[in-house]
Amino acid sequence: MSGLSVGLQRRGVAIPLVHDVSLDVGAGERLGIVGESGSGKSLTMLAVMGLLNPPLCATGGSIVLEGKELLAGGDAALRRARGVAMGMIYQDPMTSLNPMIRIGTQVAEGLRAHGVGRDEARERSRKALIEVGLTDAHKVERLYPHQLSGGMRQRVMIASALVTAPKLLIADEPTTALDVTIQRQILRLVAKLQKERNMAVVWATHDLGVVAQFAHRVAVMYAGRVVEIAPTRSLFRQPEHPYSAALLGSLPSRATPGKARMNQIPGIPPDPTRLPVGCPFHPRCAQATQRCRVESPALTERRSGSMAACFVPPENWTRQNRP
Amino acid sequence: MAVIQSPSLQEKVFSQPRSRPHWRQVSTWMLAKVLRAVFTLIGVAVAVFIILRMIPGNQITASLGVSAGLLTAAQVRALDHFYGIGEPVTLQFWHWADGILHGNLGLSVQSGRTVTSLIGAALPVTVELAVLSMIIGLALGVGLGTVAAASPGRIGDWLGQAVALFGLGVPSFVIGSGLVAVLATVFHYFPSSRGYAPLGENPWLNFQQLIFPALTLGIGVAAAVLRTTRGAMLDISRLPFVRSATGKGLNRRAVVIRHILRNALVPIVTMSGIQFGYLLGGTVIVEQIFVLPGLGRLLLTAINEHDYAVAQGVTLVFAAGFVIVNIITDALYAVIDPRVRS
Repeated sequence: MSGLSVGLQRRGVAIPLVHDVSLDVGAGERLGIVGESGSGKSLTMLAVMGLLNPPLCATGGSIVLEGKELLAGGDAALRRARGVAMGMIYQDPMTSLNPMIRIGTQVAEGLRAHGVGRDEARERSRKALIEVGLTDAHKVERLYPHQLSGGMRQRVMIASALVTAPKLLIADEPTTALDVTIQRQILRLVAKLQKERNMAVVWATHDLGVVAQFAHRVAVMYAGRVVEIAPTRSLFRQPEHPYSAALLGSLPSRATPGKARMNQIPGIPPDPTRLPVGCPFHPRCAQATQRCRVESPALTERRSGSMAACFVPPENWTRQNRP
Repeated sequence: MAVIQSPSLQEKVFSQPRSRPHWRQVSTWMLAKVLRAVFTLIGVAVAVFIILRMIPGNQITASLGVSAGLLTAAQVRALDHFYGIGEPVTLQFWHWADGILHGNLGLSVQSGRTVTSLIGAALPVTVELAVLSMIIGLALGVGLGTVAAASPGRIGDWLGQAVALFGLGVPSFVIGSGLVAVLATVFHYFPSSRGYAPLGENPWLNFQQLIFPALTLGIGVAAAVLRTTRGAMLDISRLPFVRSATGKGLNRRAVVIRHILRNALVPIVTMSGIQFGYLLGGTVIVEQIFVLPGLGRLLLTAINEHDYAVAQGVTLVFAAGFVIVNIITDALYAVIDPRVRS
């Protein structure tokens, strides 16, 4: 994916929400995307699937999956790619299943849409349900969504995304709506399936803990831009962008127990219709210089192997806000 | 000491797969519905009985007109006795109610025939008209509503909105009279001129006689159903499961029909039930305009002639029809929505 932009079309004027995002993910790789609410994670994921609803739409850039261009390919190409090439699991398992249709039918539906016969589709969806840990699949497939718990529903969602064996799995905060133990189970499950099938997985979350456990590489998003992409280990050891550093700094740490106040990033994320001039993070950034207020930095390669969009190298940072 | 064990979470989750309701549950449900229906009908019977007697005049003035004033007191008493209106009202009601329980709805004082036989002749006409109108209304309403919801703001949507505005804004007596006028003057087409043709005898002529009144009534139903369908589908199309269905690679048609329309059925059924009530009321006017010998016409004539027994009988039949449709509507909820079943 390169140079992807998403905008909100209103009365012919596009309000940009995602700017020039370029990401790549290879087979067998797990990419994490972190950012606050409203940083454009979900919009980016949905744009890849072609699932943006008007007035939202992708306004530029290209999405290439296995050598095929998706954004320019039209609806039919996109529809064929969904399921077969890429699948997605969503934020809210409670409302992402159709309440009127039996589980088995909903899981098999994706296969049927790509020309698989009824019996084979049923057989494969049953296998998929067993694979995601719903071992009494023959029972579950006859149930309706309201008869399942949240964790079970998210497992069903995963089964229905994976039943068509996509090469790329996109997960948009799939554990946010679940409690912590179920979160961990789901995370492990996806990790296991990813390894078995050598899939590429993109996992968007605002939970750094999930990223640390799961991702090989991490992209940090802020105000609709990617501000840093780094191998997970480098990001946690040596963040190259002040925002990443601030995010890590806001984690509760075992080193400062007791009454110590949790660090927080001052200010609020900017209104996408009134982005500040220069670097969008500069009003909240402790490292901001005169240049940051005028010019917007591009992603550049760093010695650590990371890419970051910041004018100020970490060695010049002031003490404050350092992890 | 007995320890009552609460079911484990596992059991709670898995005890629900009983997706078919138990027969006993269904029969209690039916019994409750039927009981309520009976009470409704009793209420209707009392109300119509009182209201009819509040209309100024009676059978005597209806049949004799102004000359009723020339009758002597003895003549009035004799006629009162003949028409059965000399007794106190409560006693009259008692006789009527007692008759109903014995399957006897009374006698039409104007035609001398039993009310049961009059209704028996008129009911098939109205049932056919109502069913045909409902089919037209639902087909147009759900069809155009789906098209409108699938492409909001496009030509199909505008067309649907125009139909809805027309159907809701123009009363059925205007549409009906207009249709009759246009058919007669422009096309010289009078399907009803040779008298009513029952469905069993001359199906083609019967269809020609019924299709225009059915259209007149159906357009009103279509308008309301269209708006409900469009609104419900637009609301539902914003729900996350529609996105996840699209994300599976389903084509637009499958998403719209299997996922969006399927979930919109509950409000559509509700609206259809309500519209059926209006439709029954509409038959009174439309049967008059298109000269159909149905229940509506029978009712109107009976009210004009102060033929109490007929008017009461027909009203009860209308009420029963509405109550039955309500029960069907409630049963349909359970068929459509698995959440209602459990």
